[in-house]
Amino acid sequence: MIHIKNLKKQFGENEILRGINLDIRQGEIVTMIGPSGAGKTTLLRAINWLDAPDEGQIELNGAAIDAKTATKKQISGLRGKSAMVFQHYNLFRNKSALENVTQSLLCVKKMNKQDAILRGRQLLDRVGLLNKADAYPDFLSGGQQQRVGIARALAVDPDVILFDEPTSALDPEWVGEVLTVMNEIAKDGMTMIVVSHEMRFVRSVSTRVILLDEGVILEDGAPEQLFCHPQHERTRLFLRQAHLGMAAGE
Amino acid sequence: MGKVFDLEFMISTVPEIISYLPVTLKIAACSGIIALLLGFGVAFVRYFNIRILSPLCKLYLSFARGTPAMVQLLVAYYGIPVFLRSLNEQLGSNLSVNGIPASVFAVVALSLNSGAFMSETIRSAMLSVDAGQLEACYSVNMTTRQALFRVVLPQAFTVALPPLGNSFISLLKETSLIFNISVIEMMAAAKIVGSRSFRFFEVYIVVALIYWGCCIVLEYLFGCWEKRVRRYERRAAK
Repeated sequence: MIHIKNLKKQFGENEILRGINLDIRQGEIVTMIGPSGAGKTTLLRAINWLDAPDEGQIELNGAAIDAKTATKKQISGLRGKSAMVFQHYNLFRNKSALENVTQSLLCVKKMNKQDAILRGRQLLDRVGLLNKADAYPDFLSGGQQQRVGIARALAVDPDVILFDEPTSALDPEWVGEVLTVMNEIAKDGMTMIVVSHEMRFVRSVSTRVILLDEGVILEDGAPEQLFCHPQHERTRLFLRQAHLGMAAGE
Repeated sequence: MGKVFDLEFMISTVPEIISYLPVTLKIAACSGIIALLLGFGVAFVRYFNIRILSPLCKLYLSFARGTPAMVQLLVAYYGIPVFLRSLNEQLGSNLSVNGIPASVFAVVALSLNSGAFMSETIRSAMLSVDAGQLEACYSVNMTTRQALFRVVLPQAFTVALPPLGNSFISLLKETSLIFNISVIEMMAAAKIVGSRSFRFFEVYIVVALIYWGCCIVLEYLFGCWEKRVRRYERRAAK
């Protein structure tokens, strides 16, 4: 469903992505892990064209785009089939929870107001926040904001939802509720790509784990395979550090 | 020699002076609205760093902020006729200066002056909106225009409103300069009344109080407006 070919991205002198090739099938829950600076977030953001790659092609369920020749229409086509959940939620601050969700329904899908509100309320209900429909983001907890962020992403009716470290800015007490919502969406068959250091999620939900390092895919496989039988020394090193970090945190 | 301070006389001049308040308010309002639109326009150009226009706007800002409002008024008053005359000569058109009331020159000069300050306020307010807001708009496939009008500008406006209020209050007070280009507004009326009796002190006190009163009302209105636009911010919910 998603085909990424030879994706490259450079920030100044700094090569972040060095030719990524990746195919993702419908319904896969892919987690990307790797040391910071490995290019996970850049790769994720490229799929939503928030960071335009310098080179390479992305095809997402018929929406094809080449970095060298990208047009506005193609970018919009790609964005119409993907949605992003941000590390810092990035909810529209001047809009209520409901308005955050209905925004794209109204101005991208051109739904009429009643239908948009109805759909928006359904989606808020799905993330368990119908009672906060009229609250502004400033008045919601981190966990609630992130759940609204997920509802907003669902409103796009995307083929894939991209999660950029969705729980790493949260206080520990809110992590659970966000992971629960992500689990439910995963069960409904949504294709998801998640950048996360949340090993609980990686192990329990993902169907596939990708380890990025220095702009290339180092490992790619099922979680148990990757965790128990890593192919590379670097993977072993990274996992040990990640586990140690987790052990120290607990 | 009469009294040092003639309160009765002072009170008697109020109706005549205040009858020119609408002129002052009209000019302030017109200039304020044009300045605001101009301010938004220039802020856009600078925010998106549009080629050619951006350096031109910078030049305009530098001039408008680097010269006194009084001088700008006089330059507009004497400059626009010269400009029209040379336009007539070049194009063979027949634009007449005489048909234009002096208050138009005043509005032009004041809005150009105030617009410069407002544009800087608006631009910095736009820059203060978190880049993540724009990204979030793009992530749900909104266009740049939709993002601007639905998300970025409303938030920028909240930030910009208090300094814009200040600009508007300054503008109201600066209208007191335009009697210099023969517009009869409140200040001019006071001068006329004063010169009839040579009791300038009293009439200037009257003018001062009227300006003060207007500014208090404006401050109050802007305060209410600010509270309204800040409703989505947590700190305002007390």
